[in-house]
Amino acid sequence: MKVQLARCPDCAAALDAQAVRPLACCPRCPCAVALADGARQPSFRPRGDGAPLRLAFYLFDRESRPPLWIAAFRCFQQATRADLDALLTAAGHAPILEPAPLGALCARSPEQAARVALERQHDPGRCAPRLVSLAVFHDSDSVVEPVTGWRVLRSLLAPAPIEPG
Amino acid sequence: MKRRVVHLGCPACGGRLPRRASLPGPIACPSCGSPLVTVASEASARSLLRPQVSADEARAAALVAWRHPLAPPGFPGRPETPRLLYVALWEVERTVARPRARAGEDPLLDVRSRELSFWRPELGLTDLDCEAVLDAAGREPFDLDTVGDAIVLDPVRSVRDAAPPAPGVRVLEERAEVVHVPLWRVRCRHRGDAWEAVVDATSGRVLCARAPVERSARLGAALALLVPLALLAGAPPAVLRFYGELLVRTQLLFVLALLFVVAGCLSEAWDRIRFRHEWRVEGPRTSLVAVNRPDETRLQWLARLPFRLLNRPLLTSRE
Repeated sequence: MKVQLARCPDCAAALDAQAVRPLACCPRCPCAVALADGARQPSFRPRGDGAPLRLAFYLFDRESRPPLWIAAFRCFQQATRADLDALLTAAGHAPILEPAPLGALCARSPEQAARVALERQHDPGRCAPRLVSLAVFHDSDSVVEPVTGWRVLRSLLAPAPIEPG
Repeated sequence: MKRRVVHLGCPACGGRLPRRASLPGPIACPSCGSPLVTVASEASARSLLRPQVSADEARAAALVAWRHPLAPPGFPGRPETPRLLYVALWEVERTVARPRARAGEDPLLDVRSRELSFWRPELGLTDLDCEAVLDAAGREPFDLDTVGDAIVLDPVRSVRDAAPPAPGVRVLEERAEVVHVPLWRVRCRHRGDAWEAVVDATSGRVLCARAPVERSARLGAALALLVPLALLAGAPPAVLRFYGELLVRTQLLFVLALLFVVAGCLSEAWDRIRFRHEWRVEGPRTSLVAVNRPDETRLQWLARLPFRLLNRPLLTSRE
């Protein structure tokens, strides 16, 4: 057990962190920080996307194949291929990315995401995954992802999207 | 078990940190205000829900639950000041691999379990809707210094005992958190006994309540059971003659049946007034429960004796 500063190593802003979550994100810089060893992980958003409510993903770029999306959050009671990451992979969603603050918390580390990809019998490729956040919006008690139209109750997401303000 | 002494100081200013810093999660240094985070691989995160229901509201809810027609006069009077309890629930998130996923199905599944971390029947926790409670209220990091004089009940069961993974699945990832849920315990003293009610402090719902029952209030039910005997005793001669003829015809069988009915009525009537009863509210259910009654009274033992005697040879022959 150790107590460490939850400040961004670049801008010294307070990190958004939750207990027993592997990564904390900086609200200003395009990076997330691994709480266990302080390693920095660059974060990205689709270009021009400034929506405040976001969900985090790992994006595995694979040669000559559409990119593989693995959710960095957990979504309960989604037993089939209707998971948001599966839908994004199937749709071949490949937005142009730019470095930006993540704006979301992660339930998985990059290593865990690669393991999830392997368990799903996807080849994650050789490159390290990029940490990407996509915009979502509220619709009553649900969270809706606009690219795929995927909808889920907010209470079924862990960690839930960070509310602005 | 290895034990280590850990310095709980702020890495920025060296200031002393509160006890909460020993639990994983974010915390601000009380000296310099630096945001800090405690990282611990083996310890579970802890958070708590703040009560949404005040002590007065909890007392009012308990008074409503205690109100019933069999209560002795003067009960519940003025209850004591409600006491806040924090009970521990496990919230476990897992990513599991399903052993027999069909084609087209995701072999992985994210599951969440929310289970009580201990068992205390007197708190009525069976009726606590863990899902609704944990979804509804906002959480904050658990801090022993801010809960005041509330009683904090720590987890007794481990994660694996309280929320074991489904059989046959392989756990890939797991995150466990202890969530402390507030309850109000309202107590009332009456004739030297303590009677209590437990109120969910997030919704105001009464989880369980116990209240005394006036012994004389059960007299009516006891007398009602004696009515058949009274009717039999005071029956007109024609009816008694009919019974007499029946006795001549059936002889021993009728006598035994009559004795059985008489003993049963007497036993049940005596039960009503002999034992102390209490009124129990457990969630939506209300029941009248005997407090000091043995599992089987002597009269019941006598009443069941013929059945026992009949069963014994059968059991012996099976053996």
